[in-house]
Parts: sequence; C-alpha cells; structure tokens
Amino acid sequence: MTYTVLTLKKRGSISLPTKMILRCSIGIIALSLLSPANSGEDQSKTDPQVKQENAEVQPASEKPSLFKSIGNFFSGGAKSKENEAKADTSSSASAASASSTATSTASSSAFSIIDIDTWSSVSNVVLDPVCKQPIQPFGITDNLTSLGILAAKLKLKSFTDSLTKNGQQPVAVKDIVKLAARNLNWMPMEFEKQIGEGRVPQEDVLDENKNKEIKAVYAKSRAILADILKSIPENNPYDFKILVVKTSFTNAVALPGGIILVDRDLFKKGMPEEYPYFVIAHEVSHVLQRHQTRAYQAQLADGIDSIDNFRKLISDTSHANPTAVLGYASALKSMVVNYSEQQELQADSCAIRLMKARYPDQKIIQEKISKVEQRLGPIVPEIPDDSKDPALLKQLHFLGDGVMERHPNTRKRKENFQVTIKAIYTS
Amino acid sequence: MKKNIAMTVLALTTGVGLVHAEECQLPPQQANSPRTEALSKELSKTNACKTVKGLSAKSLKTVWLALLDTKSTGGKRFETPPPAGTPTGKVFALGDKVPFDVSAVAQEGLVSLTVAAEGTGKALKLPQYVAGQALLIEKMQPGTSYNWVLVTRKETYRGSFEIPEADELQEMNGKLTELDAQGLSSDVKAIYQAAIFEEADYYFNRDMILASLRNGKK
Repeated sequence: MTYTVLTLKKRGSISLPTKMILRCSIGIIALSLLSPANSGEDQSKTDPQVKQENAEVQPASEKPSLFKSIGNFFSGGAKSKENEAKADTSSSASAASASSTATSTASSSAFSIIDIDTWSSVSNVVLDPVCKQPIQPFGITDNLTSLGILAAKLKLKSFTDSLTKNGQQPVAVKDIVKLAARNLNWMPMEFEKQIGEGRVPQEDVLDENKNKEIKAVYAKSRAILADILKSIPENNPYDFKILVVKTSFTNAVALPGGIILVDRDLFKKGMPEEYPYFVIAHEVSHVLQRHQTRAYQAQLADGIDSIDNFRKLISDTSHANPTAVLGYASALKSMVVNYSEQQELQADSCAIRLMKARYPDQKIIQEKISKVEQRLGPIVPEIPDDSKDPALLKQLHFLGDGVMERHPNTRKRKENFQVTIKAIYTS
Repeated sequence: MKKNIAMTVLALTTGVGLVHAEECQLPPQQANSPRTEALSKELSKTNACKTVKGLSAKSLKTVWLALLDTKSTGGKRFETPPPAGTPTGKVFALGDKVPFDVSAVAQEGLVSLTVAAEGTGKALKLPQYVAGQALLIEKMQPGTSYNWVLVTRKETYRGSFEIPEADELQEMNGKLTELDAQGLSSDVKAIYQAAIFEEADYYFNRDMILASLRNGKK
C-alpha cells in the first residue's frame, strides 16, 4: 500500500530529485483516490477490504474511525500530544479568536501530519492559538501522508456526509480539496526560498559597512536571531538571514524562507531591549509557521475548483518559476484572504514560546512582555468593520501584495499575550 | 624610455578618467515608459560631481532604480506600516514645515491625528484637514523628535520622525541651493534632489519626490 512506502521515509533524508519523484508518484496515487467517482461512492461494493474497514467505522462518535486509525498510525506517538493540544486550544480559543475549523496534529518524532477532518468555507488556516507547534511541517512526506489520509477519508461516504454546510447539505469534494490545498504545506521549500529571495527590496537594503550605526543594527539583530534560533532544532531547512533596510518604522518583515528585514531604527535610542527581541522572535515565527507561503497557497487554492486543477497546481509549482505562479496568485487578488489577523496573533504566541528558553520564569516574561505592550499603539474604541467596502479593500492592498494584511488591535494583542503566557508557563 | 613613461602616464590618466566618468556620470538606464526613457537620456548628459559637490552617480542610480521599482515587498510585518506620505525617520523640514499626507488612508475614515514632541508629550496644534491635500505641520524645531498617532475607523497607525540639528539642515540647504543654480529641467532636478536626500538618509523626503515623479506632478 501507499502508506507503507511513506513510513519508510524520514524527514531530511531525501534528496531533491527523489522528493520530486516521490511527490509525483505518491501524489498521483493519493490524488487518484480523490477522484469524484471514488469519493462519493460506497466502495464496499467493489472492494472487500474497504467493506471490512467500513464496517468498523460507524458510528464515528463512538468508535475510532478508519481515517482516525490511519492518522494515529502515521502520527505514531502523537496521540497524547494531540489530546494535550486540544485541551490547550479549547482553553484559549476565545481570547485568540481562532476561527479555523480544522485540527492540526503533529509528531516531531517521525511525521508531522495535518489531519483535516472539518470543513471551512473561507481561507482560514489551521491556527493553533498558543503555538504548540512552533515549526510547521515542511517535509514532503509529511504533506503527502496528510494528503493520503485525506484521500482515504474521502473514500468513505460517511466522512463527506459528516461534513455539512451550515448543518445542511454535505460538503462537495471540490471544497474539501480546496481545504486540503489551503492547509497542507505543499509548496516546496526550494520554491519558498526563491520567493523570499525575489521579494528582497534590493535598493532599500543598507550596506553593513555604510556607517557605525548600521553596523550596530546588523550586529544586534544577528545576536538576537542567534539567541532565538537556539530554541529550535538545528536541522530545520531555513536559511535565516538579517538585512537592515532604509525604512524607519521600528518594524521588521519576514519573507518566506527565512529572510528578515529589520528597520534601521529598531534599536533607536530609548527603545527597551525587549522590543526588538520580541519583534525578531515574532518574525522568526512567521517564517517557521510558513505564514506568507500559506497565504500564497490559499490564494492559489481559492482558484481551484477541481481535483485535476489541484493536481496540475501541485505539479506546476514543483518546476515553475515563482513569477509565473505569483502572477496567477495576483490574478485572484479580489478574493479576500482575511486570515492575516489570526496569523499575527499566532506569531505573537510563537514568539513568547521561543522566548521561554531565555526567560523560563513567568514573572520575568511578564515584565518583558509588559515592556513590549507599552510600545504598541493605544487602545482605541473599536468601530464595526464594514469589510464589504470595495474602496477600503482597494486602499488596503497597498499594505501587501494582494494578501490582505491586517494586524490585530492592541487590545486583542494584549489579551492574547496573557492567554499565551498562562498556557505556556502553567502547562 | 621617455616613450614608455609617456605611455604609462597616458594609460593612467585614461584609466583615472574612465573611473572618474563612472563615478560622476550615469549612463542611460532602463526605463518603463517614454517619459522615464527621455528622463534617463537627459540625466546621462549631466555630471553628478559637478552639479552638486560631493554627489556621485551611484546615488543617482540608486534613486533611479527606486523610481522604477513600484512592487510591494509583501512579507509579514510585526505591525501595520505607516501609510505612504506620513513622515518617519530623518526628515528635512522645508522652512519649518513638514508635510503629512493622509490621503492613502482617507477612505478608511479619519478619526484623529496627534503629533507630539518627544519628551514633552504635548500635542501640536494641527491645521484643518482639506481632503486630497497634505497637512503642513508648522513650527518644527531642529534637533527634535516627534511621535504621531493616526487613527482611522479601521486601523491605528503610529510613527515618529526627527528634525536634525540646524547645522545639518543648513548643509542640506546649501546643496539644494547649489542644485537650483544649475538650470536643470524640473524632472532632472527632482532626481538630483532625491539623490541628495538619499545620500544623507532623508528617505521620507526622497520618497515624496519619487512619488511625485511617478504621479507626473513634478
């Protein structure tokens, strides 16, 4: 079976050509299972093995289902982690306002699997509000395993029946495929790095030797980055790099693949040292969560209306140049991808988690975060959002390259800080 | 012997001459419209070193590339960046005034703008906002930093800017006056002004000029 092949491969041990071959062969097998003809039918009539498996599945609420079993098989010892994650998520979901409806489970030992078992009508990503998994899965086997599990689920009519739109009709297979395309990290890491390199504003990058001030910003930023990276595994695929830019917004930007653009005034006089540390940790988290890449994926996924389309997209992105694919993504600009705010809250939470290694004491981290809070904007009365205003959407596009970039307000950020500290330091 | 020395001197002077030309003259650059193509040709006929003392062709090139580059970087930021046209970093105040343009976010619904000198926390009195026009904040003091908060119905933006000490402003004024005396066309002069600001790290002023050039207002 396909799944046996998957278990033999460990992350990080496969060469690029092998990855591509694996991607194609396993992907085709997995995607062939996703064909509409297969997904809605009761396969038990033709496949005795499936018939036997189906008999064990129902009712889903009482017994572990086949797809759950497959998921557990691949995620190995992740079961206890999964339970822990669910408990954590439920305790903090209200403050972080995570609107995603899919569940992410992962195993750091062998495979990191995203188990898609619920449906969402919008391009929300799988967001763990307290960032239990600081590094998103990046291995090709992880993604294909996840896809294989989804394919197996789709073979079961009970699965599609269990997913209903507003409690009414079952969700169409194409929507589930869209969901998979949004949630899996199927964009190759090499591609992600190319996107990042291509987005560097070369004319705005300051030469390290320009003057003492700029040299100091490089040195301080790199020292912070090195300190933060101590708390993540060394065998990660990212090439983290600091570039100081001409802008003076006391801000920083994370580009896919690990490039972090730091504003020249991030360490300006009077700035508490905690602020740049937190800002850089926040940006590292964006990279590790592959937020920007997932935004591109979501844009692309919104244009998918068939399995063939998705199959084509996956195979195209493995060898296409980034400009062509991003061109396709920007053609879908009008579709609102409004999950940016959730990603920001998650990056804040991940930053606190990354800082735990340096500040293991809860009192200390509270003090550090309160310094960060003082630098945030003032809390102002909230005015109801009228997100349907086309003029507003047009105006907001200048902030990003078509991806709706919205930051949570100060009140939401402060609340999220406290929920995260509580969840991380008391668990 | 004499011939060899003469050849060496000639080679050296030619080499120096070439290097000098590279440092001072910007050859025609890539353009993205007939207007920028014409501007590039016109610019290539000027000598940066002679036009403004201390200026190099490198700064002109950097400004030129920035003029053509309109793509957004994308990426994920820690905070929403300030809107285009709002002052940040080191700012050259013309007279004692600094422009503050909120038109990029006017459609979000403006709620308030507060500008205060750092340290005092005292808010400045601002002129009445006229739709489509940049506010001109007056009585900016050299050697002072200012913090501002702009609240719209959708977002709160904040930033800070700094007016350098009087002697630095005077030096900049000298260069700009020197440029005025050259009799260049308005577009070429604008590129030179942007390059002067680029070299001295006045990126807000540089970007204001580039935005005007892109919009054809210069």
